[in-house]
Amino acid sequence: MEIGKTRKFLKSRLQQDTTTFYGFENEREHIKNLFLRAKDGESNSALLIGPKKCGKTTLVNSVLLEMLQDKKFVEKTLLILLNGLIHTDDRLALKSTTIQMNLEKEVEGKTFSSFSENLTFLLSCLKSGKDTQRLIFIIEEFDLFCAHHNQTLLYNLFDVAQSAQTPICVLGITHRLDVIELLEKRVKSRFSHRQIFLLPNSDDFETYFKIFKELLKLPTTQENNEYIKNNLSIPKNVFREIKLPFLRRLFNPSEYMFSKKHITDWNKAIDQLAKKEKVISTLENLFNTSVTIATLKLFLFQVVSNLNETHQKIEDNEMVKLIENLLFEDNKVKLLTGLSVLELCILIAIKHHCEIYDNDPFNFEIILTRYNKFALKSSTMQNIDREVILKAFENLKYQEFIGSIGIEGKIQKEYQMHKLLIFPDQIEKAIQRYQNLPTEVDHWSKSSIF
Amino acid sequence: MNKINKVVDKLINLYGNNEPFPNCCYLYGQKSVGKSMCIENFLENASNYIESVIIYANECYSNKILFENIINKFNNHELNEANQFESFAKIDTMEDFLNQISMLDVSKSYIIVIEKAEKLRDMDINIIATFSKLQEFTGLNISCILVSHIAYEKMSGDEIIEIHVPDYSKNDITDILLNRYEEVHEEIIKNIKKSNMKNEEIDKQLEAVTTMNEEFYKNYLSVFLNVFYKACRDLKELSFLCDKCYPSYYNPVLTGEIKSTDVTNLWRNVTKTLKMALNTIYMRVGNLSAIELKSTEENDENTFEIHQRTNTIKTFAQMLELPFYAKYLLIASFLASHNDAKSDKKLFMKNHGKERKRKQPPKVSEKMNVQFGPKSFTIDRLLAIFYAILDEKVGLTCNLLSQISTLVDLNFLTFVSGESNLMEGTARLQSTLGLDFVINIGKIVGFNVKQYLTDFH
Repeated sequence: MEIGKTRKFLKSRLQQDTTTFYGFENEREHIKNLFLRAKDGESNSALLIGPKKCGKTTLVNSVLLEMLQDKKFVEKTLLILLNGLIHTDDRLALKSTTIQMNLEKEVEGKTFSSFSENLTFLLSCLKSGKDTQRLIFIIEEFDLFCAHHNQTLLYNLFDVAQSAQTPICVLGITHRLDVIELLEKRVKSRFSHRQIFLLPNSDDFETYFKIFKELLKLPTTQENNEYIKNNLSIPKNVFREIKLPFLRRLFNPSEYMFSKKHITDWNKAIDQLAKKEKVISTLENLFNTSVTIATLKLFLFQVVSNLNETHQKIEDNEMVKLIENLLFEDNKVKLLTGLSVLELCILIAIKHHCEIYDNDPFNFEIILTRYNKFALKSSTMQNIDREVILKAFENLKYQEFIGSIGIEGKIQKEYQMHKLLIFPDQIEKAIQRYQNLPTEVDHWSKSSIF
Repeated sequence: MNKINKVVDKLINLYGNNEPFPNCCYLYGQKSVGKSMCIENFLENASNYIESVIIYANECYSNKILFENIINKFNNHELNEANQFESFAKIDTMEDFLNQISMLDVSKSYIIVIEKAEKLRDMDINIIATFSKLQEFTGLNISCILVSHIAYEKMSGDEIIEIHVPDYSKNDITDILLNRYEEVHEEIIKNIKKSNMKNEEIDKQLEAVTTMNEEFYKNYLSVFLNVFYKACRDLKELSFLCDKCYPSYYNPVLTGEIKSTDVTNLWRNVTKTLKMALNTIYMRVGNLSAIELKSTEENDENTFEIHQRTNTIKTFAQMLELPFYAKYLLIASFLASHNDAKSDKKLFMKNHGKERKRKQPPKVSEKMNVQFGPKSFTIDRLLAIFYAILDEKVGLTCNLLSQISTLVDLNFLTFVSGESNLMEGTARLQSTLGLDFVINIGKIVGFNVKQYLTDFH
C-alpha cells in the first residue's frame, strides 16, 4: 500500500508541481518586482530568455502563485496569457485577449478600421471603472509573434506600454537568444530592452544532485506544512476567478499521508542510493548531456514508474541502466536491426557507395549494380528479383534511412537521386547487433571488395 | 506474446490508475511488429480509468478533422442521422480545441493516441509542440501517445519518453504463423469437401489431410521462412504469402505422390514455387499458379539461375506485340537516351575517320550512363539512329512516324518538352525502358544492344 502511495506522490510531484522553481533567485526577484510594479500601475515591458526546457514557464508560474496570495494583486490586475503556438496570428490573439478581458459583449457588433483602434477600445473599456485594472500580458513563445504580419500586436502592445496611457506590463517568454534581432526597428525602439536571461549553469553539479535527492525523498510533516503555507494559501475565490491552467490541478502534498516510519525508511534508502559511486557518475553523465531539471524529472518519472509491490526500492543498477539507455542507446540502430537481410544488404551497398564516392548522391540503379556484384557471388542472397529489391529500397525510404533530393516525380523512381540520412557507423553498429546475419554479408559490410 | 506484454506493462507503469500522466510518450518500432496491438491491449487494461481516443494522423487532412474527432470521442458524441453528422462543436483553431479540451471533467484522465504520427509533421507546425504539452495548456491529467515507425529525432519535438517495440525474431514469426494452423487446416478440409471430385477421391484426400499434423505445418513454415525471411520481415506480407504457397506444399500429399513424412521430397517439390513467389513479395499477385506454369515450362530449357532472374522481364518482352520497326524504334530511343550525342558518329558510322590512337587511361570510374537515367533527344536524332541500326532501307513515311506516337501512348517514350510542336522538330523525348528489357527486345529482332552503348566499350 505504502509503495503505491509513494509512487503516486513522487509522480505527482514530478509531473504536477509546475510551480516550484530551483535557483536563479535574482532573476526571480526581477520578475517579481516587475509584477509588483505593474500592480502599482507602472507600465513596462520585458523579455525572459532562456534555452528550451530550462524552466521559464515554471519560473513565471512560481512568481504568479506567490503574487496570487496577495489580495490586492488579484483585485487590481488582469492576467492575459498568449501563446505563439496557439495564437498563430494577431487576429486570433486579439480575439483571445477580448475574451480573457471579458469584453466580448462590448465588442459585439462594432467594427474597427485598424488593429490599434480595436486595442485602444479594449483598453478604454477598462478605464470606465473607478480604478483602472492593470493588465499583465504574458506572451509565451514570443519569437513566433515576431513572424506575424508587421508585428502589429507587438508594436501596439509596446506602444501602449511605452506611452503610459494605460498601465500595462508585457512579459515575453522565448527560447531564442537572438529574439531582439527579430523585432522590427519601430517595435524595437518601443521595447524597454529589459532582458532577463535564464542561462543554466553547467558547472553546478552539486545543486543538481541536491535537487535529484530532493525530488526522490518524501517530505516530513514539517516540510509539508511549510510548502502548504508558502504555496497554497491562495484565497478560494481566486480559483474561481482566475483561469490559469496550472491552478486547476495544483500539487497538494497534504493529500498524501505516510507513516513516519515509512518516511524515514524511504529517505534513508534514497540517501544510500545517492552515496553509490556508480549512481553519481552516471548522473553526472546525464548532467553533462542536459543540465535542465526537466530532463532530470523526465528520467526520474520513468524510474519511479517501475516501482510496485514486488519491486519496492529504487535499485542503483536499474537507474544506471536507464540512464545509459537514455544517453547511449541509438534508437535508429534499434530500428535498423529490425530490417530484413535484403534491406540491410542494400544499406551496406549504399554505405560502400558513400565511402567510395565521398557521400555522392545515389539512385536505385547505382545501388542495384553494386548490390548485384555481391549477390551474384553470394550463396544466400541469390534469386531475388529486381522488383523486390526496388521495394526494399523504397521501404528504406519509407523508414527515412534514405531520402530523395530534388523534386520527386520528375524522373523515374529508379533514377531519382537519394542521399543517406544516417551515419555509416550506425549501420555498422546495427550489423554487429543483428542476429543470424549470414557471415558473407558481415564480411561484405567490412570491405567492399568481395 | 512476451514482448508485447512487456511494452504493455511499461505503458501501464507510466499511466497508472489515478496517477498523474507524463506529458507525452513516443512508441516506435518497425512496421507490423504489433505497435497498435500494444496500444489496444493497454487501453483495454486501463479502460476503467482512462478515457481514450485513437486517431490516425494520415486520415486527418485538415486540423479540423483531427480536433473534432478527438472532441467527439471525449464527449461521447457519435455522428449519426439524428445530429445530421455534425460534430460536437465546430473547431477551427487550436485555441477552440484547447478550450473544448479544458471543458472536460478535471477529475478524469485522458489519453490521445496518434497513429502514423510522422504525418503530423506535414500538418501545421504547432501541432506536435502543443500536443506534447497538453497538460500545460489545459491543466487536465491528459497525455498523448505518438505511434510511428521512424526515429523520434525526425519529429523535431522536445524530449519525451520513448518506448521501443522490439521486432519479431524468426522464432516469434514461426509461433505467430503456427497459431493459425487450425484455421488453415479447416480451410483445406472445407475446400476438399466443396470440390467436385468423386466421392472416393474426396475420402482419400480427407484421409491424407489427417496426416498433415501441426508438425507438418511447422516443417512447411521452416522451409518457407528459410526462403522468405531474408527478404522480408513484414508479418502481414509473410502470412499472406505463406497462405499462397501452402497448397503447393501439401498438394502432393493429397494426391498421394509424396508421403507427409517425407520432408526432403516435399521440400524439393516446393522450392521452385517458393523461389517464384519470392519475386512477388509486395506485388500481391492474385494468382501465383499462372506465373508458376510459365516458369516450369521454361525452366526445363535454361537452368541457369541468372536466366531465372530476368524471367519476368523476358516473358514480358516476348509477349510484347509490336511491329518490327517499332521494336527498332524502341531500341533506337534507348540508345539515344543513354549515349552521348558526341559518340554517335563513332558508334553508328562505318567511316568515322581515323581514330587517333591516344593512350587513354583505363576507365576507373564505375559510373555508367545507364545508371543515371535517360537523357532527352530530338526526333531527328532518333530517326538518324534508327536508320543507322536498321539494315534495310525504309522510307520515312507517315506510317513510321505514327509508330512514334504509338510508343508515346504506350508510355515507352515520354515527352520532356515541346509536346505541341512535334512537326517542327524541337520536341524532346526520352526512353523509359530499362536495360534488361531492351536487351531482350534486341534478342528478338537479332540486334546486340550492348555493342552500341558507350558504357560497355
